[in-house]
Amino acid sequence: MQTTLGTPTLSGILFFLGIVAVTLAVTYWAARHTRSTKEFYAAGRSISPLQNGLALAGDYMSAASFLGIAGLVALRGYDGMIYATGWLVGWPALMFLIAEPLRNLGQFTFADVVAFRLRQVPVRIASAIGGILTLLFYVLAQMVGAGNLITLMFGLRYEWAVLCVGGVMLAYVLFGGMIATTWVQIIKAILLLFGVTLLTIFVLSRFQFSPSALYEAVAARYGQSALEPGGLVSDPVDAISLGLALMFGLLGLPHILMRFYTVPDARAARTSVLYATGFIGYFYLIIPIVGFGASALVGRELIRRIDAGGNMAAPLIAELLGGTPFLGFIAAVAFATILAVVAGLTLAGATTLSHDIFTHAIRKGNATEREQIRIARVATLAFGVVAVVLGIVFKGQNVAFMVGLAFAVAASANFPALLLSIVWRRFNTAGAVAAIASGALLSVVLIILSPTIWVDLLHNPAPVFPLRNPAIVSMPVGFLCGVLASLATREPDAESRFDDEKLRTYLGVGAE
Amino acid sequence: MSLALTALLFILYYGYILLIAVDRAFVSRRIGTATTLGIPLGAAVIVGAWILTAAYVFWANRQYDTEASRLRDRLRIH
Repeated sequence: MQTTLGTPTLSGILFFLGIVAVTLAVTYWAARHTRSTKEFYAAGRSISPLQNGLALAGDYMSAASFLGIAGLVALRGYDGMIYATGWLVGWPALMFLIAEPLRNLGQFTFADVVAFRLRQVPVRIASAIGGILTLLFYVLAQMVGAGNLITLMFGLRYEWAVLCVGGVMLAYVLFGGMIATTWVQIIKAILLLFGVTLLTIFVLSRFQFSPSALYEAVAARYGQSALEPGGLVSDPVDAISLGLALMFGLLGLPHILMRFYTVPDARAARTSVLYATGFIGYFYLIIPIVGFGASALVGRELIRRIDAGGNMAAPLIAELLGGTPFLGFIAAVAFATILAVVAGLTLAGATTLSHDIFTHAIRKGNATEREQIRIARVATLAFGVVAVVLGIVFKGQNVAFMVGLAFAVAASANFPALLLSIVWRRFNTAGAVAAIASGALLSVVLIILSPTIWVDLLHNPAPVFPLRNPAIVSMPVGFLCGVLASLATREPDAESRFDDEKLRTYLGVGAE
Repeated sequence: MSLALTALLFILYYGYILLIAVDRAFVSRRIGTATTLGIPLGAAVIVGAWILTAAYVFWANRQYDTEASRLRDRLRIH
């Protein structure tokens, strides 16, 4: 087939400008309602459960899951489907363990919860380091991905693509705060779910709406092995470790956690997770059909020729089945996907810097609303500029492992501190700092020593640490260090305030 | 209840991964002309995870919230 990928098409540019125009109009409206910290960080706690469910889905489903998983299924068959399930299973765990206590205890960030009855300054700083590390690894992968994708789809120069994403995203967050970010994420989630549903219907229409006819076509072209487990689970320990990072990493992602403060109460938080799990589950159920469809109809050779990682499988099948206008639409959806995720990450980064570091660690809670909003905007700008610079510096590097690293740090540092602070009376300041420091440090060190960096990037003959995913070691170590450091020290204040905390955690007494 | 559901989630997801690791032939068994058993299994993990979430919401809305509001009332009286 002939493809117009890589050249700007009229329909592509129109859809692209349409999305930018609509989201900027929403931002203009949101800016007039963004005056207080509660509005800037938490959209005034006025988001409905359905809206928050969509926004959570929009915050979470990145270009890596849309284009990446479709490509993985197209090129490696069933393995892509195993990977897709891992991206969903964190959501029930988030509901069972974290969502409601987080909403009841906190104000704007997950550090509010960890520091609830502990000494503010050390815990705020440690949580902020864990949070910012997670966000930086994540945003770096998103920015490099954005630059590559936009270059591939529109033929725009890499640096311009990164600047363009950074500029539009900064406009949302700087002026519209959480209200604009929420609506950008809602719009993106609806566009993405709609686009992938259309793609799935188009693919199935070629096979008389029979999935088994689709699988027969894939098997006829690439052999039965395309529908069988391949190399992904060849090492079960590594597969479980990846599963742990994906599942519990979600429970430590600052940009996801802060979305729970945008709803009025714990019950609304609960309902919004159910919606989010429904949307995200639906997405991961149908995205393999798009991947298999690309495999059967476009062919692995062409997909690989355009992008070795397979990221263009979904745009190519869109062009084959719906022509250039549909390709333009899917490309614009991919662009909106990146914008919404990067905006969420930047807002979370800015909130951590201004609320945790400035207001609580530096000013000890004494800062006026005006000051806090000003610092929040400065922090937004700083985080956004760092994201763009990192995106440009890492041009051409393979940074796919960065998302894995972000999930590993979130699962090994942020999650243990958060969970222990909620459930364990004896947990104290030393424990929180130890859990975050050891979990974050070990995740980073083990990834450097793993085959991913030590062998593939640094070209050493053998890895020092055999697994590609460190979570199976680093997460238990994070918990263990948190427990040991707590047991080694006493903090009577923290223990005596646990009963008050419990009333608020489980009954919502005094929750904001 | 939270812990019981978390345990079920673990069995569902890590059971699926371990099943693939331990008995590849079973997951690769054909159930149609080409469709393998693994495909409905993967879909079942996703649907199952959503059902667990829904079960939690059902329980929390009906039982937990009632109990919590009763306790809050008692606290206010004393």
